[in-house]
Amino acid sequence: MTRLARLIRPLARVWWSCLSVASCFTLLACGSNTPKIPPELLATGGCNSPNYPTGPFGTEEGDTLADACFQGFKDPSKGSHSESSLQTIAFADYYDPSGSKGYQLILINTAAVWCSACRSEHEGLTEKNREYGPRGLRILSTLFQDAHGDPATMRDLTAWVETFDSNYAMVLDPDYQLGDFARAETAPLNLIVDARTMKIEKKLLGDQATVIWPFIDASLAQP
Amino acid sequence: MQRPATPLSCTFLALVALGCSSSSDAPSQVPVTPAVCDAPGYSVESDSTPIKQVTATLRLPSGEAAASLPVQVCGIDTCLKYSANQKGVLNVSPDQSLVRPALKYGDGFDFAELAVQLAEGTQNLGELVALPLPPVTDGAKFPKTGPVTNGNVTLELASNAKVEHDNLTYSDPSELVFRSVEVPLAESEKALPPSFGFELAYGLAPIGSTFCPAAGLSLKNTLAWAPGTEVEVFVQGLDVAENWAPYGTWQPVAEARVSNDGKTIDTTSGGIPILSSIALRRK
Repeated sequence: MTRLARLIRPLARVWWSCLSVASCFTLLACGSNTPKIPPELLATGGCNSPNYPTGPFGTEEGDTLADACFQGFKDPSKGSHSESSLQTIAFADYYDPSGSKGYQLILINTAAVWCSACRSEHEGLTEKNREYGPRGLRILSTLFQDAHGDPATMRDLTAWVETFDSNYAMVLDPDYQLGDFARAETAPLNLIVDARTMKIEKKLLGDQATVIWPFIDASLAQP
Repeated sequence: MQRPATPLSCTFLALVALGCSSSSDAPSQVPVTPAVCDAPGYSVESDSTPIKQVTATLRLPSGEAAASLPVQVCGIDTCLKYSANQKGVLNVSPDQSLVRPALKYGDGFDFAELAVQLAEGTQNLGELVALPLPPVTDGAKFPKTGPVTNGNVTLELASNAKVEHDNLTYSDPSELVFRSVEVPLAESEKALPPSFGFELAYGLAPIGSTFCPAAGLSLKNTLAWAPGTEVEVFVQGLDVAENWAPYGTWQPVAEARVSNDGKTIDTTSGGIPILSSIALRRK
């Protein structure tokens, strides 16, 4: 689905819900319940990485992952968690075709505050990052919704990294750019990506620790 | 089911701390030893269960539809977020395998949260009653120590109590107040299976707040049980991390007794380690 279509879909949902309410006052009144996403958190645009692999891109195993940009913290264990500390973080930052950065695999993960399975998964990610980071794994997690299913905010991101002592890249995805990979009502999603090619090696719905970590362990063991 | 040992040991530590401070004439300079509690943990490896379709009708205690009620079909590995429609009807097709799946209805904000364990395949859960919590403006602020009461339920925090709230879920501090609502057992059999023999239950909020040592519990004896009646107290596991209770089911956490004047039911050992839904049965 295109990005434009993703942006239009929530508006259409609001429009139809307005129509369905007999006492629908005005479009403005309905719109007032729709959470606004501060533009500075969207991080869209400016995601130009000339050296990133060219398409075709896809969303399944074996496909090349399209680049995307987010606002977040590259290493929340260092520095403050204020809005002024936000950085633009792109998948392209982890692309390492020659191995010069020391990156072999990227674990891209989605999370939402309402999703207790996501929270359970993050309780172990900091330790996994300590264990596998030196071997070439990079973890990037995208927080996309709050406890009510509304777009995640700066406050959610700050609370998240402080709750889980995150030491891996944690970013906001309030407009759910990863919606091409999994529906917003399902979380978490885990993508294991080869940093040398940006090809999706594994795509898993859910915290499938017994699949994810043996796969990462075996992949990192390969030269 | 295994009873968690830690809350009991925490209670013991708290009693020791209380005893020390009460037996001394020294004023408040005596440092209170912070309680330390290790969650017992109930996580076990389990196979996944294919969940094709789940239907239910959610209504309020008044009989009206619980329109747009938040609902989750959540295993310990994956969660799917839905809501009932304007008529309170839930008709969802997860069509995926989940580990130990449960349907959780209510969100701990406007409604108490309860869980119904799900079986394989397609299932119709029938009618589920959503229980509105009192508004947060009617909730009781947590003291550092001592009692906190809402409705028929009182929690007693020890002098060295450490209370940790789920600040991620409840991002607005005004939501971190104690609230309770009675669960109508006859209309909640999916979440509180009759096989447990529960006779009294409450939904509590804020969900996920933990107490170390486990909080004492005192309930109004609304069922007029005889003085001295021995009671078991359970909490429902709503958190997939399963630190304090196994997910989706009920875990005994305390023993209680009806007071001599017959007015209250008070814990005599153990306590509430985590806020969730609670249920009681006579021994």
